[in-house]
Amino acid sequence: MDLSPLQSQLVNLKTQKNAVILAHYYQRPEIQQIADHVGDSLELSRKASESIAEILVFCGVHFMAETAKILNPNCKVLIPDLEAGCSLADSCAVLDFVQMRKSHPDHLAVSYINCSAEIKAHSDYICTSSNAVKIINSFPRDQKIIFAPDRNLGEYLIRETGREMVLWDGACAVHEAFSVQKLIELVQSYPSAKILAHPESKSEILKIAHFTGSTSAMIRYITESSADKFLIGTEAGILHQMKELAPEKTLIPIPTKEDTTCACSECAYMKVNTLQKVLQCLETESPEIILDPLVSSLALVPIRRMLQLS
Amino acid sequence: MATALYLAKLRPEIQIRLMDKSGGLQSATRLAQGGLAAVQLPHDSFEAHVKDTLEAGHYQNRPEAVWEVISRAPEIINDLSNWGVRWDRDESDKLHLGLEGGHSYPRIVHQADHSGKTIHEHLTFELEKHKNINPIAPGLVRDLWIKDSKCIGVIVWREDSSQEICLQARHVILATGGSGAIFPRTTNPPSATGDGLAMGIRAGVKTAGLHWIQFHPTVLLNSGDDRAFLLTEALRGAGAYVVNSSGRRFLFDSLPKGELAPRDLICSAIWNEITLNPGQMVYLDCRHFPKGKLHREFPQVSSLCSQVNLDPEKVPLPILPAAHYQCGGIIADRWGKTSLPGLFAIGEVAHTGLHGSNRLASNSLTEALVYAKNAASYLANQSLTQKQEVLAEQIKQIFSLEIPEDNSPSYPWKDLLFDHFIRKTPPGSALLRDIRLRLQILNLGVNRGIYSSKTLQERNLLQVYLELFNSMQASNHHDLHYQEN
Repeated sequence: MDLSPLQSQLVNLKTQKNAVILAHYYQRPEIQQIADHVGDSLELSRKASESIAEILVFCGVHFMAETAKILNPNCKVLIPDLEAGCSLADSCAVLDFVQMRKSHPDHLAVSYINCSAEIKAHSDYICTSSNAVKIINSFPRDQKIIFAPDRNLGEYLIRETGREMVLWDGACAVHEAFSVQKLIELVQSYPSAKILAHPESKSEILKIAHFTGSTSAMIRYITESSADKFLIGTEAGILHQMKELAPEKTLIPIPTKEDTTCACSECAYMKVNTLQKVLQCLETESPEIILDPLVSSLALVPIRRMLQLS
Repeated sequence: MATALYLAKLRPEIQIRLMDKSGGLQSATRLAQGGLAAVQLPHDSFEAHVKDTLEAGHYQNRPEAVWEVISRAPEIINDLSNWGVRWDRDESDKLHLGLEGGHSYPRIVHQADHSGKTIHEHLTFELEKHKNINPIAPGLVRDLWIKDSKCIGVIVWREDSSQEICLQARHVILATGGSGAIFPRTTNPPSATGDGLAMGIRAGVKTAGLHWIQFHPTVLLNSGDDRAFLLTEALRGAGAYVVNSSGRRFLFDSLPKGELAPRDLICSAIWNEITLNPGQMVYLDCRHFPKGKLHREFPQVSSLCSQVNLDPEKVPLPILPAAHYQCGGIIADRWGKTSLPGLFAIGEVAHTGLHGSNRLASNSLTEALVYAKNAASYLANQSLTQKQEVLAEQIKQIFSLEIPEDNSPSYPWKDLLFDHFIRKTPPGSALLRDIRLRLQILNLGVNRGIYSSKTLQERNLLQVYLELFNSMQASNHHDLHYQEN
């Protein structure tokens, strides 16, 4: 693989500083190319907790870098741009969440990993889209559950597990934007294609999807499937990884309502990070993720439970 | 300590356990410079001392408490003498009586300007003579142990072994002092984090007058040290000026009496001067004093200034207001009993009603000793044959949180506190939300067994802060601290 001058510079600096770069599937392809590990939030969490590097550069959104810091508090965790937020994580206000817990005192709180460190601290379990079903099924059948912050994922989990759950009314702005109308048009153009959706997607899309699963589960589905055309209902950035792993398959992104010209769903926050910013952040060792030690220790408890169960 | 001594004398068979997070080293009593106000007949009268106390307290006092303390102050002086405390006396061996602001007669019994230290040392020495009083144990009391709406002991955090231990007791006495540490500057020792008040509040004990915080207007600005050095009010009485950076005596802008106005109004005026004019400093100027006067009449101020390399004869002294005394607290009756059965409160943590909304100088040590003696005589009359279920000592292992010094939480809201309490500006909703959020995390830490001495004390500070604020909002705005508006 040929590296650009900027990429080579980054790779050298990384070695020199004993740093590790973790990148999410949704990051720009040029960042994924120079990353030490590329994965979804669960895989990257594991990599972060196992890492013995002095510096972790987390190319993703804020809550992911926070999770890395919680799992590896002695490691310096850098994020190329502090503005890289997550609409879903931002949708869950701590005071309201605590209030919700207070009004359901006998419920266990399971929170999707896309939430702030404070929400994690106030939760009993953390889950990702790839292990949520498994974690919920590990509880006794009559266990009452609060699920936060993603309502779409929560509804999917209620259907999958048959459990009753109190749902936090939060949503991912990107997944929300999928237009059912555009999808129908697309399905008519590619009648043989398999429809793949992320569990965070709206229930209208989930209903017609052939397969619903996490990012890594989708990749597995594509590589193992006999079909050759796929409609993918998730971030466009994921296609890079999928195309590399399945070069012979045709992958078509499902368009969003807002942006029909590029016909793909892009998480604006994910694209905030650029190679230039990654280089600059490693050079200056800032911005750094700083967490209160108490919040960090409290948040570690439910994350550990998740890692043990998955 | 005094309660233990009084009780040990009455009932030597009762086992008394003392708990002090600082191991008996830190105490506001030790810092008391004045002494104990105690009427010496026939020149002075109880009526006059009562009147002075009520006036200072803006008639928010409970008259029964005022009479109780004032009429028994001479008896307390006698008790202290019996414990070996020696007082300053004149040539004819009569007690030397000091005069302080707000008192209409000289009636302050004292030993030089370190009465509190002497008393503390003698009490500590006396304690060691009693076999039934266990030496002060290390550990921070985390919370009261409550069962069936009764206080049955305390839950102690032992940092050395990372354990939480439940200790059972027939009676628990809070003597934890004030909560000056919630303010950015205080004359209290750093240990004054309102622990007793906070655990009482968490247990639902009734409180009163929490927002009656007494501020001292002229505390030497000593950068880098949270604890403030008092510049006695007598300096203003002797003619010192309060000036701003340009040397102007700005107090006269709003206060016709200038430097001789009541201390709460001076606090407001100084605080306004500083906060409304960025970069402005306020000083106490003694440069016009006759040469040698300071050294002669205010030796403590002189030596203090030389310690921080300031010469008051040559430069004006930088000052700021600082939190001084908590006049309200946990409501305690004549016997020190609180609204929670089994729990007593003595001293600054208690609200007996003596001080009203503003404490008269040198009344607090007397108050603590009077109620310590009352509580002891009440406890001595309690039957110990009464059956009591003995609960097993419970020990829980805690995840001891290690917080590096440089990573300690900062309190951006601390400076705002002066605004709330001196200028009476209510805190913004964002600030209150942040404090509630932090308190929730701290409580969660306690519930999940993840904490440290630092987070426990921070939890107490924030708990007290919220209650102070609630109390301020609930008050009818008639008390002394609201005069400005």
